[in-house]
Amino acid sequence: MRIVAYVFHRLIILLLAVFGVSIITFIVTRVLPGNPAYLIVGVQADQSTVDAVIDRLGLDKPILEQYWLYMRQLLLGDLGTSWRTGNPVSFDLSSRWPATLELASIAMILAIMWAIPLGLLSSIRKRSFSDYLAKFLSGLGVAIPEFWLATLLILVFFAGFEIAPAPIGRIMHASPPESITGMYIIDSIITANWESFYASVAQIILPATTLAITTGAPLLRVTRTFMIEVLDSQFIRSARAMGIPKMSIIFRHAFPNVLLPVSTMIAVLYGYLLGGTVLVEYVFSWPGMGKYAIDSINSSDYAPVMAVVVLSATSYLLVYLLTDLLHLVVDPRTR
Amino acid sequence: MIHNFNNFKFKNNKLNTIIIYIYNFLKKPSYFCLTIIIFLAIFGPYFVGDPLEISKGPRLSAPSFDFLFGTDQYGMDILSRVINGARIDLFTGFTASFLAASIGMPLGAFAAYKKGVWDQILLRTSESFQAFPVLILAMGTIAAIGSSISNIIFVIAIVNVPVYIKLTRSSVVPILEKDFIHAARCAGKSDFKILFKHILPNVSPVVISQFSVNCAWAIQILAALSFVGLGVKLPIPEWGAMVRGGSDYILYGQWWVSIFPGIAILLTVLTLNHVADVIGEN
Repeated sequence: MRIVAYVFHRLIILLLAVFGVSIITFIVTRVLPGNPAYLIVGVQADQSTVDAVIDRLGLDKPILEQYWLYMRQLLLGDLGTSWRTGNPVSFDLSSRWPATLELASIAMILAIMWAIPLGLLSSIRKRSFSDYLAKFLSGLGVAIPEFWLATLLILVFFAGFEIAPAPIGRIMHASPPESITGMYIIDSIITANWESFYASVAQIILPATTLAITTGAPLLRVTRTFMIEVLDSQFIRSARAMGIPKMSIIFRHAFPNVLLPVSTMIAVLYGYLLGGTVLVEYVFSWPGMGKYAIDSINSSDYAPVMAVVVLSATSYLLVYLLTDLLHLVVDPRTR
Repeated sequence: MIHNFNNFKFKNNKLNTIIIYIYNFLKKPSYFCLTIIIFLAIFGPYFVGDPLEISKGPRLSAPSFDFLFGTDQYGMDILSRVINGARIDLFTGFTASFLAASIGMPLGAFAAYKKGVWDQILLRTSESFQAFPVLILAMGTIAAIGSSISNIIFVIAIVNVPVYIKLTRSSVVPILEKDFIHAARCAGKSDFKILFKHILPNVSPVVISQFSVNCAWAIQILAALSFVGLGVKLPIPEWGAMVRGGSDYILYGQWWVSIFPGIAILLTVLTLNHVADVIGEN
């Protein structure tokens, strides 16, 4: 029963946070200087056109009523229409969202693959080569500008060694696989379309590596710090005194204790990635949400931007909720 | 090498203290680097010439003795532009995080001190804020209100306020239970005085450390905004804009246009992060 109450409590907090997100987005769109109607029709439009747009957006209504209308639209899944592409925003996002999800997920997997082992290794062997390497990489990964790293990787692997494909889009020299989930790699595995599988993997490697380097750094730091703390604690000392093999101490006794902070960090980073792939998408012309947002911003098309903001904020909160629930499984103390 | 400089004595006692203080300050590598960067930002531009002078050398010439960092597509000297860029980047970083700290710190302390409804409202708002994709939000807002430097500083500051609210709140809460706060309250001091005279000085090291990290982050956001063409526009020397300007030429092997400004961002951010670590350790 306590678990049910906890889940319920968390869901209410999630709803409150989504409510907060909607209020902030609403304020940003409505209270900012400049009439949104002019942004839509342009400054040269005559008064009747502007009035028509104001009427359609409900800009002449009281602010609370405007908020009510805005919320009702959101809840009905209507994210507005993009005048740049001429499609409903939800239609545009249905092809862009999987692209971002695919990139973020691959990047997260790569980050976990390099950061956690290196973090473990550096905490076990202090002042060794791997420890210094870990310190260096975690400092560098946090400080390096993503867009510059992406440019650098293109310079080295595309222009220099010519082993990476051109940084344009999700797939080249092959037709995209039949759309099931919208994520090319998974779709091509399901349909056993190996040609497009190789093509899409080749395309994703550089952008995913860029993101993996920058998101792996904080993960490495968290793993290292908490692992050092756990390895210093009393129960590890007694386990060592009892003559338990080193591998068993590290993986059976120490590592489960760092899983909690590490999984929280993974959740935060993954949630961040879902809205934070903008720059990498921009450099690699990756047709995801971030690129969509930038293109829309550049042509003053605001409905898509707000939709992207709300969608990635909500998915961040959802990922966070899922991790908290996962903690119930990982950590018996929270039950 | 003078190993125990702390025992070294000048005749003038005051001068002695100042010199030892400066020595101990510069002894730490990260403080030393930060001093050099700030020094370059302030005085560097007077030595390297006009960053906006077109056709100072041949277009896109590789690094040489005449142009240590090479020249860009307009024949402008990249070394001069990188050093001049330090001004605008550091200025934006410092001002934006100073603004954010001066809004967020009192708010966070207020939330912790008042508890109850205000605390919850501020906490939840800043949590919702942190769920946002900061860059997209900043880009959208700047595109709407115009990309002047003051607007950019304002937007970067606003997206950083929640960080300070949460940080100050979490460091004020344990202090509230300390005896000296109870004593101050018994002495009949006003809430305002307790907050600003007794509590905030105690959390300032944490906030200063965060300030340094935040400067670094603000510089990264500014560079990112300029890189996608929404922040500072070329030909104004700004590191992110310069990386963007050179990214068209990188595929043809003319790497120096993008690489040097990028290294400048990297080194500055690295230094500021390290300074934060050093402050945090003390």
